[in-house]
Order: sequence, then structure tokens, then C-alpha cells
Amino acid sequence: MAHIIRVRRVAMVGAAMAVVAALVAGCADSDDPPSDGGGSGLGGDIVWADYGGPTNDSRQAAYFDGFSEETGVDVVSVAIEDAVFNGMLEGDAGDYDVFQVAAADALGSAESLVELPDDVRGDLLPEGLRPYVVGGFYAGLAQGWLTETFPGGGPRDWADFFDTETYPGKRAWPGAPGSFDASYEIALLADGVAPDDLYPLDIERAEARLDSIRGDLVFYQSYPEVQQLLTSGSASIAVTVTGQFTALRNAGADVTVQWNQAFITPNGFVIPAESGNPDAVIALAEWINDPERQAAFVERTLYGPVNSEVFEHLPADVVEQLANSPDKEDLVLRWDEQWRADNRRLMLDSYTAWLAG
Amino acid sequence: MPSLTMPRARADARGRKPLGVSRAEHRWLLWPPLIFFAVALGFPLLTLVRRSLEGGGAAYADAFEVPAFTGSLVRTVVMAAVVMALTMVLGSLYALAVVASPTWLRFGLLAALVLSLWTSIMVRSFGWMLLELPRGALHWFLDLLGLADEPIELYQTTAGMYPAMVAVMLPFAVLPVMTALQSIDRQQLSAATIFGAGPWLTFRAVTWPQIMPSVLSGGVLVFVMSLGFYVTPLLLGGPGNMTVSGVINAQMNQANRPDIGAAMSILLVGGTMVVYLLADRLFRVSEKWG
Repeated sequence: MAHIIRVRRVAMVGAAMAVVAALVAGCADSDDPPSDGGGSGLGGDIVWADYGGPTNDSRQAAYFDGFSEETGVDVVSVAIEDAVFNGMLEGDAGDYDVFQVAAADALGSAESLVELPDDVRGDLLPEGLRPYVVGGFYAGLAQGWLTETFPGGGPRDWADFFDTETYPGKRAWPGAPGSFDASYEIALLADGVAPDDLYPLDIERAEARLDSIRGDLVFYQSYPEVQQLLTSGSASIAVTVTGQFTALRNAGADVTVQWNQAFITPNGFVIPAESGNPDAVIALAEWINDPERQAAFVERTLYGPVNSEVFEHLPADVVEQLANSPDKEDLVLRWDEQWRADNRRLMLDSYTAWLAG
Repeated sequence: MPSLTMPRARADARGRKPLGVSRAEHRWLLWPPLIFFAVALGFPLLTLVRRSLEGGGAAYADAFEVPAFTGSLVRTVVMAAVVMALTMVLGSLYALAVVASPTWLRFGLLAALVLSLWTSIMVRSFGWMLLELPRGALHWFLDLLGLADEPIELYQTTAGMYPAMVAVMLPFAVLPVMTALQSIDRQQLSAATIFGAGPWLTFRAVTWPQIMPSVLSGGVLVFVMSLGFYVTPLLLGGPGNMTVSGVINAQMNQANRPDIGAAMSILLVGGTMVVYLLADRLFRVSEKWG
């Protein structure tokens, strides 16, 4: 199967190159190729490091296949290794030409990243991230449940989430050392802190609030476990990345996601200073920022776009499921990415210690 | 007392050199395992030591500054000791059952043991999870018998974690004891019976002295291996049972402090070696490897 696809891809690249050659020979009419170089100046391949899975398949279909046909540059996807990308963030040599990071990582190491030209930047990204993030997307972090669990309507905010009498049952909660996610923010909001006053985080207060429902938490080590916990009835509510709720829906479950006070956070890829092929990656970044192509990716993954024009190319029923859709603007919250970048170590150490009890 | 003369006879047999192997051959035969250990163990360990000393040894002090470290280190050692004790008792019983069983049952018991060795630890941990979830397989089974209506409170408790860990370690305690049991001279057992000893006295005076070294060495092996538990206690015991491996992983991968992670690893490996050397001194474990 993989072999057949590969053969077909090679054939298609060949055909595309023949067409390009014919166009170049016939006339000098050009409105589609990337502005700088148009394929002629680019070569080699791009080593793209991400977390694989269906999201990578969607990138292959929405972005990479077309890009390779157009430019002849192959995009080779590899599974990202923490040890490699952490080193490259600090300016060390490494194999990746472009790799996935959380917003806080990018902000913390801007000096060892390649800057993007102005016209390639995603306008929906926070200003500090715009110059660095390639192929960005928005993910949500929210509470959700199987709709049948609460026939009278589930929790409306984080205070309700902590109300175990009105909304009984275990809560699925991130339990891997270092996966602090929005744990402190959620606890503080439930404790009555206003969204604008969250930072600097009062970690002691947050942990005291978390302790109050520790017995009602069931911890997961990786996000996909959440699906098992919810469908088996072992947890009644889950706090997790919204992609897991989407996956449950795709599997036929009726899931309710509470977007009120949910957190949205940008993710994406960065080009390290030691990247082996920065020009090709920038061309790919431009390719990805194209509204129609990004719309195709969004429709497959339901991750929010980073280019505001993308919404014009999406049907309404897709838009309403996206973490950063315009109609949710008044509901969702954003992390203070800079504070989190500066205090990453503090959060990691205290959350690991809290988990270990 | 035959039990007194037996160990000495065995030790003599072991001290003798195999016939037909010259000194030179001995030296050459030693090289492949030595090279293997240098490459597979020595080199990574050296790299780890170098990495931990990158900041001039400050990483060792920093390791103790990480709030979860000391607690998880103690927890790991206690956990390994509990698993060791449980596995030694259960493993000896299992080995006795295997040897005493009729052929068909013996085959079944051995197959179960080997099958569990063949299955990945991740798969097995996930299987235990499905079993122990509040409304998991165990709940379903008890419900079928009319014994459970409330969800079971077993998943992510200390009680829910040990059965899975013992199951992972069981083969390493059973196999050496089984070998020792099989090499017991049956005539000694017959002799004991003829002299009027009941089953309990026969076990105490004849069987136990001959299998005890294997029970101990199996136990030490299990203890040392249990120090490396990571996924099983986190998944089934909950984060409250986090082992030192979890803290090391967080330092290496999330905190991007490989030097602290390396220092913690060295402390764990060093601690393990001290434990092993002490055990070797006390129980002469290495002599029992055969």
C-alpha cells in the first residue's frame, strides 16, 4: 500500500515537473508559484519533526503533497525527540529543519530561531510569536463530558467543575509528571480569581484548591486515555485538549464541550538557527499560510487557524467547533505565554511535586 | 544431616574447571562479554557521568533541590522492597506448584509464565488498567455474579498497583527457584519420608535449604529491576506513587535539564550498586548465579 502511494507520488511529481517545464518553455505567465524563487532556487528536502498520528497525515494531505509537487522539495516527517529539539532550541546542531514546539518554548528561545518574512506570518498569533511560528494552529483546553452524563446540563465554568455534589463522578485530569497544562489557572479561576488577575500564579492557593478534590480525580498519562475513561464511565468529566473530544465525536459519541473559561493556546513549528534548509522551510511556511490550504487542514483536524482569512473558506458548522472561532471570543481565555515561559521550571517542579503528593 | 553436606558438594562441583579448556582459551572466551559490557553498559554510563558533571557537579546539589526527588527516591526503594518480598513468596509457591503438578497443569503454569514474559510491559499495564477501572472488566465480572453495584475503588490506588508489578516480576523469581527444585535429588525426599518426617519437616529440612539461595538471588534480581519501574506505578497506582524514573523523565524532557536528570540517574544507579554489593556481602548472591 505504502509502496503504491509512493510510486504514485513519484509519478505525480514527474508529471507536475513536466507541466512546469512546459509552462516555463511556452510562456512566462506565472501567478501561482511562491514569490521568491518559484521552485528554481529550492532543493534538497525538509526534515519536519512532529508528533505523527492523524495530524501529520492531515499535514501530508493538506500541505506537503502539493508543496513537493510544486517545488520538488520532499518533506520528510520524523517523530520528534525531546532531547534533539531541546538542544536545537539552545542553538545546538541537530537533524531537524523545522520542529513542533509549544508557544512558551518558542518565546523562551527566540534568539536561536530563524525569523520569517512579514508576509508569511499568521495574523491571529500573539504578536511575540508571529515572527517565528510556521504552520501554527490553535488548540483548546476545556472540560467536556458525554452529553448523557448530565441530562440537566453539565458544569458551566470551573467553579462548577469543582462542585462534586451537583456534578458527581470522577474527573479525568492530566497526571504525567510535567504535564501541568492549565491546572493552576483552572484551580485559581474556580477559587474566585478574576481572569485578568491570574498572573503571577498563586501556586500555593491553586494547590490548596486542587487538594480539595484530589480524591475525585482520576489521572491520565497520555491524552488518548481520556476517551477510554469517559466511554467506560470511569470518569464523568474530563479536562483535556479539545482534540480528544473531537476524536470521541468522530467515533460516534455525543460529547458536550464547555467552551466557557476554556483556554486556547497557539502551537506551531519553528526554524532553528541550525536548520539545514531554511529557504525551503520559509517557502513551505508561505505555502501553509495560504488560506485555502490552511482551511483544508482545519477541516480535517478541527484545529483553529492562525490566518484570519481562513474562516472565509470554511463552512459554518466547522467554524463553530474551532477553539478560536470568532463567536467564542468572549468565552475563551488565553494564557500569559510570556509568564509561563519565564516560570516554566517553577510550574514543572511544583506540579510534579503536587502530583507525587 | 544431608542438608549440611549438600551445599559444600555443590560448591566443589562449581570450583572445578571444565575439562578440555586451556588457560588461553579461558582468556579469549572472556573477551566477547567484556567488550559487550564495555559498549552496552560502560560507554552510556560514562556519558551519563560526564553529562552530570557538566556544571562542575552542581547538578547533584540541584537534584536535591527538585522538590519531588527525595520523596520519590525513598518511595522507589520502599516499593522495590515490597515487590521483592511479595514476589519471593509468590514466586517460591509458584515454582513449588509447577514442580509438584501433573504434566498437563505444569505445562499450563509454565506457558502462562512465559507468555507474560513475551508481552510488552506497556500492553500489560494497559490490560490491568482496563481490568481495574471503576467500571472496568473486574466490575463487569463481579456484577455478573451479583457481587458489585457500586464502581470499584481500585484503579490508581496502591493496592491496585502491586498485583501488576508482581505479575511483571514473577518469572524472574520463579525460574531460578524452579531450577533449584528440579535439581534436588528425589532420593533425599524418599529418605526423609522413610525416616518418618512429615511433609512440613521434609520441606524445612531438605527442600528449603537447597532452594533458599535461589529464592534470595531471585529476590535481589527483582529488587534491582523494580527500581526502574515507571509506567506501571504511575498508571495503576496514580501519580501519588510516582517513582524516581518519573522525576528523571521530567528533568530530561520537560525541564530540559539533562545534567540534573543524569545526576539523578547516577544517584539511582549508584544506590542500586551499593544495595547489590551489600546483598552480595550478606547473602553471597553472585555465587548463586551458577
